[in-house]
Amino acid sequence: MAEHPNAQIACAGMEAFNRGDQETFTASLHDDVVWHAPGKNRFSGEFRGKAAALGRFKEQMEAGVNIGFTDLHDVVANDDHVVALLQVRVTGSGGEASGPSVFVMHIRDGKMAEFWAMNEHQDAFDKVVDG
Amino acid sequence: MAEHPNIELVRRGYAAFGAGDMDTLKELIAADVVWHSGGHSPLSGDYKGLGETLGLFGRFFEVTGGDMSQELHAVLADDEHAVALLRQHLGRPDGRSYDGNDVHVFHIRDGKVTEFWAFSEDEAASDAALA
Repeated sequence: MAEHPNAQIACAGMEAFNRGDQETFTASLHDDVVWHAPGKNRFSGEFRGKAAALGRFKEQMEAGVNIGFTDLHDVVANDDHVVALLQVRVTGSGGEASGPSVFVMHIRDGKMAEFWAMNEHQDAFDKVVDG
Repeated sequence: MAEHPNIELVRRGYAAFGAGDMDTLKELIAADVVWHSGGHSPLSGDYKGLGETLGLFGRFFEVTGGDMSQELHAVLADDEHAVALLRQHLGRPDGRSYDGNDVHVFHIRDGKVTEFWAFSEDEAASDAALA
């Protein structure tokens, strides 16, 4: 596992999200975070600012969609980027799907400032989310 | 901090791919490589072994008529993985094209690529260009 301080910041945020620890996850986001939610489902798009990003997660949860990772395989990092290699599982009205994903993050001021997710089975994820 | 040798390996690989230098690619890719070509296009699927993988590269050159490039944004690595963040361009002779952010993940052992995965920010667009 990478020991770069940015990797530790990213891991702490991702793990908080995964265990439903809203407080720690919220604290890990930069106020100006830009969250790129992939795919072509109702929660896809670009969310600018902490309030917009958190609002999206809230709506997603209220819609009964759960997204989390089941295996954090590796994290590679340098001063500019953190990339996490992981297995993601999505459940929602359309059933469930899982598959390999990469999360790419920018860390600024010790917080998550920009986030992209890319899923190998994005089309399957979209079907689960939109049911 | 000195760059990880796996970063250098991957950068050499992209330079060789861009130059059509198959000899260097043969040196950098393991004989028993597994190459996961992402998406849902005629070129998608799992290619097993160096022969099938070089065959896939040939198909990419064929369908794009050579109008294909990767602009590396960043390469990160640890002892096990290298990750390339890049701008992918694919052009087709009929005018279709794809320009998007891709992430390539390499599993590296003993100085050779043993497994590869590709992720696209907009997989549907990439599939449409290659269909």
